Amino acid sequence: MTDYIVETKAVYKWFPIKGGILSRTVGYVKAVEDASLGVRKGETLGLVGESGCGKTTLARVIMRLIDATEGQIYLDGEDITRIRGRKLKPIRRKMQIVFQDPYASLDPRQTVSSALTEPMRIHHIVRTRSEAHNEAKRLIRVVGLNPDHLSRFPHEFSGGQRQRIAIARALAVEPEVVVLDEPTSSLDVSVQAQVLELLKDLQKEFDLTYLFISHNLSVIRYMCHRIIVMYLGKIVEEADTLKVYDNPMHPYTFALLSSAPIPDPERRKGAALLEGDVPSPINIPSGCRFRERCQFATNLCSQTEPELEAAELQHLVRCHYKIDFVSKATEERPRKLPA
Amino acid sequence: MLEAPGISEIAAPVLEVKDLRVVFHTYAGEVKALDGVNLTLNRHEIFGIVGESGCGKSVTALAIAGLLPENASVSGQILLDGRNLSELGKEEMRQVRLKDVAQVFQDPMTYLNPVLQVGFQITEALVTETNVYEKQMIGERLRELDQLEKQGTNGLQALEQERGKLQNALRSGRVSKGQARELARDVALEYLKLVRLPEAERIFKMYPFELSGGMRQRAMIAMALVKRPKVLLADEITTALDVTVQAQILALLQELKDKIDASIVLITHDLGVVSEVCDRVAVMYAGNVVEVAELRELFSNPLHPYTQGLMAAVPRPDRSTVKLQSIKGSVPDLIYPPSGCRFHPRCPKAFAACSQRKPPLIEATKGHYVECLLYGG
Amino acid sequence: MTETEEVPVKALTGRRAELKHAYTLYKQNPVVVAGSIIAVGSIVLALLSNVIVNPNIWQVEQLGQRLCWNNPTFSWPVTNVFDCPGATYPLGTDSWGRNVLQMIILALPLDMEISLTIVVSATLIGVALGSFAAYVGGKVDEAILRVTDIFFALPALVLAIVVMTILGRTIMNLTIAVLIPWWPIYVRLIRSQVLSEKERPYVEALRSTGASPVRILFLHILPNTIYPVIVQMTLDIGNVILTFSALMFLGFSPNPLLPELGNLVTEGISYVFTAPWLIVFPGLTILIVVLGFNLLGDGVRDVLDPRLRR
Repeated sequence: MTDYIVETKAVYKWFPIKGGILSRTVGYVKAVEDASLGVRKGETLGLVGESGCGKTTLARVIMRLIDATEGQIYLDGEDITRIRGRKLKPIRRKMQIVFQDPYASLDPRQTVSSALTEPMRIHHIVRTRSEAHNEAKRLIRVVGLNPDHLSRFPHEFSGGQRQRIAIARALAVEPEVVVLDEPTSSLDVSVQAQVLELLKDLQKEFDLTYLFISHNLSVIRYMCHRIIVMYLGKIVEEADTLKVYDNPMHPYTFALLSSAPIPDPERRKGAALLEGDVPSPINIPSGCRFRERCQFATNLCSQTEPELEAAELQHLVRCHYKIDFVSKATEERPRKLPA
Repeated sequence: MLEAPGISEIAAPVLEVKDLRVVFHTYAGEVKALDGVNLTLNRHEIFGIVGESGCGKSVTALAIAGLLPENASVSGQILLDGRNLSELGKEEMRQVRLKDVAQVFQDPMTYLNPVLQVGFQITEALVTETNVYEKQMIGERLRELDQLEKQGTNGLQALEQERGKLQNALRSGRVSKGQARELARDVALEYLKLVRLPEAERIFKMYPFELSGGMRQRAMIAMALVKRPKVLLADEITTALDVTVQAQILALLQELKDKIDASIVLITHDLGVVSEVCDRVAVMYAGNVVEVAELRELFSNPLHPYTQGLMAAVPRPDRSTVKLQSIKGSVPDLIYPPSGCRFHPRCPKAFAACSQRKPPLIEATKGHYVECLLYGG
Repeated sequence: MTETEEVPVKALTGRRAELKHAYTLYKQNPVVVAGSIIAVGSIVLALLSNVIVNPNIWQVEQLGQRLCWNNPTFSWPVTNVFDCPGATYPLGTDSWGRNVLQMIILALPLDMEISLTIVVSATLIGVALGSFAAYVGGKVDEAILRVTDIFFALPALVLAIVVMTILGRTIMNLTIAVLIPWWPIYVRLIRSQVLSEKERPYVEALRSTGASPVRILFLHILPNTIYPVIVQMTLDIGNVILTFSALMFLGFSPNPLLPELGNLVTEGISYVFTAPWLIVFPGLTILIVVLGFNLLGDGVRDVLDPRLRR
């Protein structure tokens, strides 16, 4: 079933590291490797992972803000991997992005009105100034602010309001896909709730497809239909949200879910599951990338890197053992598997 | 060695904040950041202060530590073991910060000096302010020597010599720089191990950039604890960390609670973090403490409408939520705060009196305090 | 639909608020006010000079009235000061008998014009090369940087002298000679500003909207980076005047009669003990004008940059 509106096939993104007097390439930051995913129209696909996992880089590659080192990206069936320059403009209209920091993503010298109407002018969506202004008024109302805010500057608004403005700007070109890069991570909890509800309403009203990036497992659970878990540049697990949360099969996913603090004193965790730090994508271990921190790692894990395969229907896992933590486990910790 | 916590069923709280008010004088106007904050911190507890931006939780911590900027006016009482900190002059407050009040901040990279070794930074205060720390360090080393002798290790003569030197130093009240450095190093290594940093000797000589975020945060905690403070203020210490690293640090705090003498004030905006480690929690909004209760009591029975709104707005990772309830409106401008109860413009249960007078802090049920006219006042 | 939000009530918003705030900051800063008064005063005087004084006076020689000081209110403690017949000369006369005050007033537009030409040209070159280097990066950037390095390595005055020697003494050549060592600073400045601004999230946001690099550069990046450039420009107006005054002093003046502040000073050197007013007043004028623009430059950034105030 390939009615994917956005699709990637084996995308790699390596950043060269320059060193020495002549600025030669001495190594690579392997930010994303072998990323194949598909987003269906109207759904919210979550990209989850910690710092260095590559989710932000992958989103930017999909958005064509940076070039993929290898692999293909498809939008509405069209291969957009190597399109450059002016030909990218119609693509830009279809895919928009909302960033994490709502202040830094708006030009501080631009009024709200100008920020909203500029995309319209770039893509010639409107013909006259008054048309643009009316559109801006409509947009600002759609995101829950009112038209007298149009003449103001970004610094006159709160974080949540600025994020609404950023969302309105993304909607100005009538996109099909919106990439949301940690859209509520820098907002207060009560404001986050407002913005998340707004995003849900807008998705229904405008039939939008979302690619939702976050490290916050609670928000991901709330917003996404399907999720992809990334670790050190690779996709390690992919399935419908509830399947992943109720039945994680990759040890990293299990550890991630177990680490997320729950606002409920009855559900305390006690000891942390995962020791050590999130590694850097410059020195990637051999075999399975997660093996140094994995309590179930065996010799096989250090020799061969596992492929992303279906553990059960519609549930892909990149692990040799695809542990069913739920059935094999006691409430807190799974039993150690024989080597 | 570390002092085992004494029999600490002492009822007297280690820190009491009474009617703390802080006003910042800025070019834009008077920011009434704290509007009469009341808090009590007991011994050996982890006390959480939870709130959103602008609620004043960081300002409260800075006020306790005496680190407010020049343009702040402070009134009210901050009693540390009965001593009023707000009456102290600059130098006296510095002495308090040296010994009794420690702080750990959100971003260890900017709070650690990048050109100095980690070990040096941890021991810096101990070595330079020997008159403050000498008795503590010498006492610990002497106890350690006792332990070693009991275990019957080799080189008893050397230990005896050292014991002699230390006792001399104690009697004469003069510790040489070399002695101080040795003692401080031992203490630092002890605490680096306590915060579970592997290979403490190696880490001692490393620079901050060589450590990962989680390790730096542990080093900062060690740095705060070496001085054996009475109060440790931890301001959003896990906010900048990845979730798996955050879990490690929170587990560490739980572990430390029983091993150290300090009481911890954990400031955060994350209800999950609070739920994981805190004993008691205060909820702050727009410069006021609106609710204080024991952890389980707060979550099972939130009284203040803001607390209720906050809990309904937070999604959970372990359960599906149908719809998030948001609190309408936004945080008020503290230059022109609302009259009466500062939450009333956003409160679904507000009534006429709410805009007229500020609710007093009352004890609704035992140990559960709330500032809301719904419950009296 | 989500609830409409309240923005805190304020009397003024948007552009009007910005201007009002800028004006308030301006008023509070006496240094800027003083500087701007002097700077604006100089410019106004320069513009009106041809109206106030007959522009042809400087070519006339009235040797009968040379080196007089005929100001009743203030006299010099120098012997043998010749008192001129007829009208009072508020600042005395020079060695060709011209009224020094009139000469100074005539000199202002020339100085200002040369100075502004140089500063504006340097800025334009800086914008062109600097933003090009910053945007394109790589070897082109390296090449442009190395070229600026070469120019920095050579002392400015020496370079100007060489150019003047080759080209000959005209006002145009003088302008070119001072411009040549001057432009690299602007290239460096604008390049570094564009480089850092380019990395800001809003630029990435604009790219994702489909804005072309040219649009982003001219409508967004440059306006945001302009304040340090304006500061540099205002400071340089004064410095440029000093530099080509120095050139005049070294003997590169096209015409000793030319009404130009540096020229006036140069011609007065020979008479420093007998007619000190020939140096003092033009020199004082240079001082005041340069000082005025410097003070203005110092204060401009504080007043204008919206980001600094938040």
